Amino acid sequence: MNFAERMDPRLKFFWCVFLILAAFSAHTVGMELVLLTIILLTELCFSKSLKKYKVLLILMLVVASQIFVIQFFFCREGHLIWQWGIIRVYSDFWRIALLGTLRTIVIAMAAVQCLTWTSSKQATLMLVSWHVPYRYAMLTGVASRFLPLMQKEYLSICDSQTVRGLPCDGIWNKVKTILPTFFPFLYRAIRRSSETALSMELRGFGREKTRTFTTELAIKPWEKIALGVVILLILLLCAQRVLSYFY
Amino acid sequence: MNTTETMKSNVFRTDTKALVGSVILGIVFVIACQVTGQIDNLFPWGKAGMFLINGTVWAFFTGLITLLYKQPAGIIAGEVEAIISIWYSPLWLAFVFANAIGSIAVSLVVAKCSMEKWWHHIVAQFFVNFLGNCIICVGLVQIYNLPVNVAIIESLIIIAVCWPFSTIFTKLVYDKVKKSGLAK
Amino acid sequence: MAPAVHIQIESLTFPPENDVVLHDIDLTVERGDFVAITGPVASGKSVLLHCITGAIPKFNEGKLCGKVSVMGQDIAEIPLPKMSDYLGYMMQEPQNQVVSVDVYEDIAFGMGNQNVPREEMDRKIHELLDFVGLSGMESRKTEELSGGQAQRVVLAGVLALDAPILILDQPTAELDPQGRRDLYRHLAYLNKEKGVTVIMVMDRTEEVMACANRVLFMENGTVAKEYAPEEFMVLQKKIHGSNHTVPSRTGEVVVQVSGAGYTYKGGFVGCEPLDLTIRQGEFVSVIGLNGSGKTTLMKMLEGLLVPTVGTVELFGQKVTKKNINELRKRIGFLFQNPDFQIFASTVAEEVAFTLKLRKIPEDKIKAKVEAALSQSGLLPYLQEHPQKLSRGQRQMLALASVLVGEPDIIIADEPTSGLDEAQSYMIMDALSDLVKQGKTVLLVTHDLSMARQYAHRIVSMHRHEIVLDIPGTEMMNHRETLERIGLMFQEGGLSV
Repeated sequence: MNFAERMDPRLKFFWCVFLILAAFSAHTVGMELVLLTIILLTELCFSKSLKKYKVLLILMLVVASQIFVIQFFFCREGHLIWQWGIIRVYSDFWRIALLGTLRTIVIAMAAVQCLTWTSSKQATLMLVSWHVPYRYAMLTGVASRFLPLMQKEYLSICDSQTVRGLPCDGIWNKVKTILPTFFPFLYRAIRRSSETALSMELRGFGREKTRTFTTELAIKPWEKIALGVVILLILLLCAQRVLSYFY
Repeated sequence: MNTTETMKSNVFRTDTKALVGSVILGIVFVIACQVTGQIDNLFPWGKAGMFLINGTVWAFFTGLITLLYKQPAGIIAGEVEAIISIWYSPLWLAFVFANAIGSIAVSLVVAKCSMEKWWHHIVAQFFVNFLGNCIICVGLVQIYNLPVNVAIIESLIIIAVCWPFSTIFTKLVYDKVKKSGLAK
Repeated sequence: MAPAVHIQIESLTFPPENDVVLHDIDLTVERGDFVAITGPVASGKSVLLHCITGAIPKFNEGKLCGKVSVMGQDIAEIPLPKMSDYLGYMMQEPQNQVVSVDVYEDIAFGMGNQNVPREEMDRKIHELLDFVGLSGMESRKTEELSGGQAQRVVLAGVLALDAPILILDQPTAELDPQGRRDLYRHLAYLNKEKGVTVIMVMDRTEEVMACANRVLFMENGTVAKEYAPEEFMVLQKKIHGSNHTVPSRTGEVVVQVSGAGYTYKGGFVGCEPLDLTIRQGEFVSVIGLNGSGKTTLMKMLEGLLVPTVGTVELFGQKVTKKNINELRKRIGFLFQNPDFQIFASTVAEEVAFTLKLRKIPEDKIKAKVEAALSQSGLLPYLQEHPQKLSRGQRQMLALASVLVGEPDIIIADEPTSGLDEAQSYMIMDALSDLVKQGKTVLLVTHDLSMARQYAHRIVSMHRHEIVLDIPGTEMMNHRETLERIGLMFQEGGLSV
């Protein structure tokens, strides 16, 4: 467990909220770049690796291409630089597209950072500390437990239907496979949820209003200070957004 | 049971089966959205940022899970989908709100209707698609920085295409699941 | 002293259905008993267990006329989460009962709900890990556990509740011989040494009989008969016999694996280069523990994996991406879990799916579907929703979906997993009938006794390689090798 993973989950949560609000408040490419640099630097400082963002890279390329194409055709800011029939391209398209792309990247990376730094156990304890009943708070652990299992299961279902003769090549065939693969998956999920819930209840889930957890959250003095600072920054950003509507 | 109690029992359910079901079906929801999102990307409309198959599946699952497990399960499933979608969609932040509001809209219809007739589903899915896509539209403008008119037109096309399909799927699948005896 | 369990059920129905699922049951289970419940498909075995746990009618709504008491308490008065004071419950799929991300948390789950102090919890978890043989694995992610390990985690979690009764529904149905042996060893110890009462729906007779002191036979929703274990064993041998092999009439080569191996991304070896020839009319069983390479071999035969070295030929043609769809029309695949393929709303639609994919005319489809369902004993359920069938019936439905395609080869991957012995024999007999008709069957299993009873040839895999390829009749001559690779155990004979 690295330093970031050991940090209090509330601090990590509010840090993520701050980054997202800041991404919305930033109105220039430069400001978005500063936020992006902060995320990368904190990541390098605390977990010494940027590997986890690799999966986001392809996704971001796809999204960026979509944003650029749409802005190329539909942006009407700046001055007209090229026209062909009804297609008109304005000078500011690239700046607005870049701003949108960077904002998207910052929001996605801030969330991934928070998600990977916070274990499901920490998330549960954080929700319990906010007085969310434990029957609800513990569902984060159930989701983390079943996600990888069900991903594998879905692939097995696809394999089963493929070898039964369901063609999967070509775009339209892919559309046709949706129903034969998702129905077994859906039925199985309903059956599984029933069995899992029964197993949980018969192990006493929900018998008392409170329960004992194997660990508890203990916020350190420096984390308290950092949390205070982050919350203050969030309040400042909110105030700036509200004031900007009036002035 | 008086009318208020009947409405309450139609809308709310907090037993463990519903809570666990919401999480597990939330995972099915997220995998379905991931797969259909990839399929959409293979089509021209996907390349233009309009996720029609994905939008249909989104509205269908929002409706189905709320019908099966009621509230707060519908919202929980939606939030499970939104949080996990951090890994595959930059619009996850819009999903946090869209999924919750879509699910609440279904519950409001369920409170008044038995969901046995087609028009009940038509109304419920209209609200899911309309409200959900309104929020996605805000997301497209605020996050992707798209021009407002483009975002509105995209959202209107998505609503027009997804509403009828998601209605048909929700009604048929809901009836099928009820017939299977797996969920009461 | 009150008995551990007392059941008086006049009738149980699930409205709006009118069918009586259980009726006329008057049963007492004394403290320290080890009761094994057996019976044909859909006879009400699991439903009876659910009545004891209180899941029926509290979790699954049903109309129960009668009374069930546990340790002298009427369970109607005990909320379901408080049943953990009286009994622990284990089902057949361990993965559905593990609810936490790591082993430590999962064992702690029940104790946490009981508000056991943290220090005591920690001490008990370490004791239980030691008992189930998982010491040092407390921080292991539950998604990385094998079926056997996961079931041991579930057992530890249930034992942590300190309940005097254990209720088990086919707990080893999905485990390999090693996993089964470990679990039964623990159950026998708990029953004999700790006096824990055990009530279980039986999966494998031989192993259960070594522990049980009573056998209940259920039929049509009631306890039809009670046997002493020895008496039941004699009866079982009479019914099932010991050898079901049909005479072998082999023909041309239908499967030819020539030096085919597969290495996954990241260098993980799925299968070392293998050579295997299977002829028409053979019943070949591929056996091995979990992770021995059986699944990778099957995936190469199914065309889901392209060998990284060597070739696979089916019906004399090298398997390629281009011809695999055509070749698959001559092969029927029966999977471990029928739920991975069932999606239709009626049994008839499900069976017809394969034929519709082949664009066969509707009138022909109807006749073929009825013939396949008749062969698998499901004709009365033609318009039933598949999800309403029992697990055994769903596996038979999957078999019917295979039979309807009239394949030349049937590849069955652990088709008896999750089934009890009676259901397993039903599936295996159906496969054996196909061999009689000149079809080829390739069975992948870790159930050695089934393999020995039905297969002409046994191919044994260990650490991604074929270590034995022998006639089924010679299996006992290779006992030493089978013991070495964990498929046979000295103290208990076959697949204990």
